[in-house]
Amino acid sequence: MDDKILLAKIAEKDEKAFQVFVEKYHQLVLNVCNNILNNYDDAMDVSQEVFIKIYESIDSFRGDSKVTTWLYRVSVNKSLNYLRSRKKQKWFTSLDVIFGDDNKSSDPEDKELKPGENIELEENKKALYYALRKLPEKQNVAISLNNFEDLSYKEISEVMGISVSEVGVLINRGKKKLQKILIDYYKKN
Amino acid sequence: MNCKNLKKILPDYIDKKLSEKQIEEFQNHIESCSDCSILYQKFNNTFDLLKPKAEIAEHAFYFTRLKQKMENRNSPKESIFISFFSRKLVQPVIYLSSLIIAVYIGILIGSGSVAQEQYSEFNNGNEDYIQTFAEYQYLNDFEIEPIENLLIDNDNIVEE
Repeated sequence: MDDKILLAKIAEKDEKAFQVFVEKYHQLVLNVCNNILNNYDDAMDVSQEVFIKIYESIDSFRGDSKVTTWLYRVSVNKSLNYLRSRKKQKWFTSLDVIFGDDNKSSDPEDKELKPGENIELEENKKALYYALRKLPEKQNVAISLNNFEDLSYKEISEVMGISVSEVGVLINRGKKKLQKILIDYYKKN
Repeated sequence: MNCKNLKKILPDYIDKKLSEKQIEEFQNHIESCSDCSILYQKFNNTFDLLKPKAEIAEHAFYFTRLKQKMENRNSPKESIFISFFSRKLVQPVIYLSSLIIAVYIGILIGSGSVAQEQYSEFNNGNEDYIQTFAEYQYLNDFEIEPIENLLIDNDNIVEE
């Protein structure tokens, strides 16, 4: 079924159409959220929030951009909101931190790796996500969309609502900063 | 090249922005310095992770879970006041009162206050109670009399 027809039906609160839409795009949304949040459970929650938001505000979609661009935009915004709200709650000492509960981070590749490789990979991932979190939000999002989602600068500019040249600047500055943070991280550890 | 310089130009080495001379110096230093070699490897491996990841597989019950979440959201929630009241006030009160009761029972058992009350009544000069208590004491003494004494008494009777 064509996306436009689907969206028109969802606007009329057609549940079947919404189900088709969710089943078609949930993988994309889940992946975007997981790439920004680096936590499968959180990504699952936030991705559901994305679809609820879409179901509730379907009228606001004018159809100027592609459906996927809209989905990327809502997913990124929801994920960033989630990260912001979590930062606010940070003064509550997290049990995960106390007990070192790192098993939430997920990657389907992990299960295929040998134990020794897994530890090294986990350490590298930890360092990378630590560095990405240290970046300004926009640089983090631009780098994540470009590197993990393989979006072009133009697609990123549509998702983020900025010019293509701004995307380039964000990614270049972000990568420089990322390298600096990583070197400092490894010097300390 | 020293370790400090290497850390400075490491990102440029990864981005292939160094001159041939700098690249040579960089590689020579890495071969001779194990710390920098480890740093370079870690940095390189980490930066390599900045690539499209393996996608998360489709979730079979995704829509069912989503629908459940939407229904839960639409169902009437208990008011914030009630949830605050029950969580912050009622629960601690229940916990505290059960703790106090438990401590009180413990003290009661430990101090043997029931027996003390008996003696206090005895001291008050209640004649009926004294009589009952005396009988009880007699019976009680009888009950706890060791069986050996009875046997000894029986032996004496036989000998006599």
